[in-house]
Amino acid sequence: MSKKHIQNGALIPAEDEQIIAELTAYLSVSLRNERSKYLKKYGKIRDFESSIEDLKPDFEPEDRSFEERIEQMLAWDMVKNYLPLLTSKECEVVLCLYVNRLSTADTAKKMNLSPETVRWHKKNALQKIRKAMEEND
Amino acid sequence: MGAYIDLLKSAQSGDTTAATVLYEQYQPLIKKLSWHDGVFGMDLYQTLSVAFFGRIIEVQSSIINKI
Repeated sequence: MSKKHIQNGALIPAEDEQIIAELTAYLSVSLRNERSKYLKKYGKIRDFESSIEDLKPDFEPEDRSFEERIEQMLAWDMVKNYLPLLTSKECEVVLCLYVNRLSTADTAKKMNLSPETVRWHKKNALQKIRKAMEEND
Repeated sequence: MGAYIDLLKSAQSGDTTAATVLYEQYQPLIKKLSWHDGVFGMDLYQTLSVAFFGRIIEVQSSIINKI
């Protein structure tokens, strides 16, 4: 038996050369196909994925709306007991500013009032609420 | 018939030592194909390793019968 070449430190008999060549060619093509399939499959998935670092710094996930809702509930719980003390306009201003978390300008726009009037109603409402809170304490 | 055919046949019949010898022999090819975008894909490497053993079983019937 003639020894033709060395592969992985072992002498390969000449008669095995053909089968090794065929096997290597077959495996090479076959594994390359497998690799392509893998990359195609997981490449598609990766396109939809984004890491947390890729997100914009100002991006806030859905938690924000959840957080807002919690804050609204807490604000409502704090304010609701004092609403009967307020006039209808003051009441509306307090709900817009503290429960719906609108700005003074947005509240004014929503209520068809000037921002100054909104601030006036807010000041009066807060005075009444503060007074009622002090009395309760 | 050469010893390599015997090695293939042994691997096919469930001889893990023979299968390991073949697997070790084709490690350079498997590892080379496991690189993608400059990163070694461990998951890809495992996928190719599993595929390798599958192909070894398939190749025995197609190549050995030809010789």
